[in-house]
Amino acid sequence: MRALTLAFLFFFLCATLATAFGIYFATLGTIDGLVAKRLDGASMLVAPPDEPVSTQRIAARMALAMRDRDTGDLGFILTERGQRVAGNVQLDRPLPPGLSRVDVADRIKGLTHGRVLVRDLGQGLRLAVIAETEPFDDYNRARKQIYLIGFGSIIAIALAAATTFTLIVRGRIVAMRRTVDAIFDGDLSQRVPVDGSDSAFDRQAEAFNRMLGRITELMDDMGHVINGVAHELRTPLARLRNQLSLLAHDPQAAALRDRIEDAQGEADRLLSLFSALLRIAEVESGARRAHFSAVDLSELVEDSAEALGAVAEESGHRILAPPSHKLVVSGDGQLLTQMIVNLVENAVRHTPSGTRIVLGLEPQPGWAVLTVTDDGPGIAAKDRARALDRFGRLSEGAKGHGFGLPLVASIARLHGGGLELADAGPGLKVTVRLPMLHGEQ
Amino acid sequence: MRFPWRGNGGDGRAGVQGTIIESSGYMPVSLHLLIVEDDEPLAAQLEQQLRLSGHETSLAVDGRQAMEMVSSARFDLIILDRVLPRMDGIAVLKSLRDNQILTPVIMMTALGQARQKVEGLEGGADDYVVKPVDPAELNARIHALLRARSWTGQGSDETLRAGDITLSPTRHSAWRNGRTLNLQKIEFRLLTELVRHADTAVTRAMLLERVWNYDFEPATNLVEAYIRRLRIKLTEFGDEDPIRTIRGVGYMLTA
Repeated sequence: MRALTLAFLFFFLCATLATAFGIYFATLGTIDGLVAKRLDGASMLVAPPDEPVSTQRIAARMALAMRDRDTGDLGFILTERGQRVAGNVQLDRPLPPGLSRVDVADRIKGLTHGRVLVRDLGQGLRLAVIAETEPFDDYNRARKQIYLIGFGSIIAIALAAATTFTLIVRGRIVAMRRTVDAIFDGDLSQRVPVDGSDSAFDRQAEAFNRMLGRITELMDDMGHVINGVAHELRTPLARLRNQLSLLAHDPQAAALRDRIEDAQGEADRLLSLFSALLRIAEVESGARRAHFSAVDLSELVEDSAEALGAVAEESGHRILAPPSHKLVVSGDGQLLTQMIVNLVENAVRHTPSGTRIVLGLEPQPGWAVLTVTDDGPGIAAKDRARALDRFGRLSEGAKGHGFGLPLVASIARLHGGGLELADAGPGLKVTVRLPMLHGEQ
Repeated sequence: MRFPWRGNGGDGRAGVQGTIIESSGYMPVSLHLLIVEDDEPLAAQLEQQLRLSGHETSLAVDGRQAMEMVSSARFDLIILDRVLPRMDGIAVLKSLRDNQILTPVIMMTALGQARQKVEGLEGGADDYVVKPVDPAELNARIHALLRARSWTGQGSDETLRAGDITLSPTRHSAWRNGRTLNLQKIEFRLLTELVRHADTAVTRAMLLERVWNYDFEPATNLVEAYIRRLRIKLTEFGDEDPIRTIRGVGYMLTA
């Protein structure tokens, strides 16, 4: 956009200057031509080329021309073998044949700038006709000023127009980008402002808003379908589970109790999968953003490390959470807690006994950076993308749903941040970045 | 190969195993409950299960009917759906409280709608359960709620007492048989919750909400791990284990 505007201005400037110089030099050339023509005319009048050369006759015609109204302002000099024989102007230096210039240094009375045409007439006679160009030069100066003011203001107006245009377009684009950013952040209720001017911009904004309206409808529909499916399936599933539970405690079914409880466990896993799906749907809808408040991450990290301390101890893991400075983000305390707990639980569940899990929290300009690092076996680089995929599982046949990390990623996104997996050499390092509200150093 | 990432993803209450309440140490109390639910099959199942637990139930299918029934009969507790035809659950709750009807209310909210829970509690509900409701969970919450309401309070405002266990929430100290218990923050909060509901079952979900402040179900058995820790500290001097595991429900501290 800026490059385009600058290029446009550059070409406009070039074209304007070329026009100005073109007109200037063309005018200059025309005037020069007119002067030359006039000198030639006067010279031919005094000494026509088709008659025999005669000093007396030429001198007589010169005298006539000097009195004539049309040619009275011209200077004439007739020389014979270098000696001045007639004329109304005195010139000390010899003049070259053809057109040349005279100026104040030639000390011609009343002349500062002029042009001279010298013709060899034959028999040693030479006729010089001099015209004063001072009025033209004055006019030239005025013309330069006119050009400067005229073309200068054209350029200034073009610059101002381009700047204004750029600002207006930029304003509109910024308004649209803000809307897009807000929508990207999950606030689908945002619309591009319309000023009612029915301009092309307004019509574009309206079209954009219509598109957003349609997208919102589709998203709502999809959300309803997901919610509906999850709810509709959960209710009968819960009923089935309760029936299995009743059955497991029936004395008549005592022999099958273990297998009934296995079936009940499967039902429980399905129920928790639906819970996870609905939780992700809730997070992705962005509805929770309406109730964000200032949350100190360092407190959540400390609490989560403590909450999972007993579990980690039993499984032989060690959780280290070095105290960190207060780091405040705008967010949902429950979701952020779930995010941290999820990350630590993942490390506890998927690394062998004896693994060290380090919870880190540090400020970077504008960001709160949370890391969960373990020195376990890690995830191969090629499998990391799959670990973040909602339905991707790293090994077939493993129990549980694959929504742990995707949920963490959803929660990070809801808060305007992101999630990254990296090699901790050895082990896995999970980094969550969240935009910081403020921190204390 | 690392195991798949499959951390906890939601706030389902499916973690409590089974629905049968073992009778030992658990006193069934017959209560008159009002169920306000427009989904009839669901309401029927709920009624059946609560009757199995020994309660008497009445059913209202919308908010206005609920208001009429509340004004003509006395209920021990109301189980109120958040979304109802004619008069919304929140409106029913407000109207009850405005009319000085202080019957305990358990709100039923849809899963994945955390806001409904907050609205319910702000509107004056005493507790909430997430649909589809686990009958054992609901029954435990009914008892815990009524127990808390009728708390005659052994000890003063300053201390809580259950059997030989004494707690001082203000001083953050606990004793058993006069001996100081050295408890960490979470262990102390867990014991407080158990003492407050002594002789009543407390579910895993209730403990997660009240001790850990979680509205989701973790993927690890962190409640069990802390109960084990607490048991070790409570029996350090050879005393009997006061925490009873109630199969399919949760835990109970016997006074």
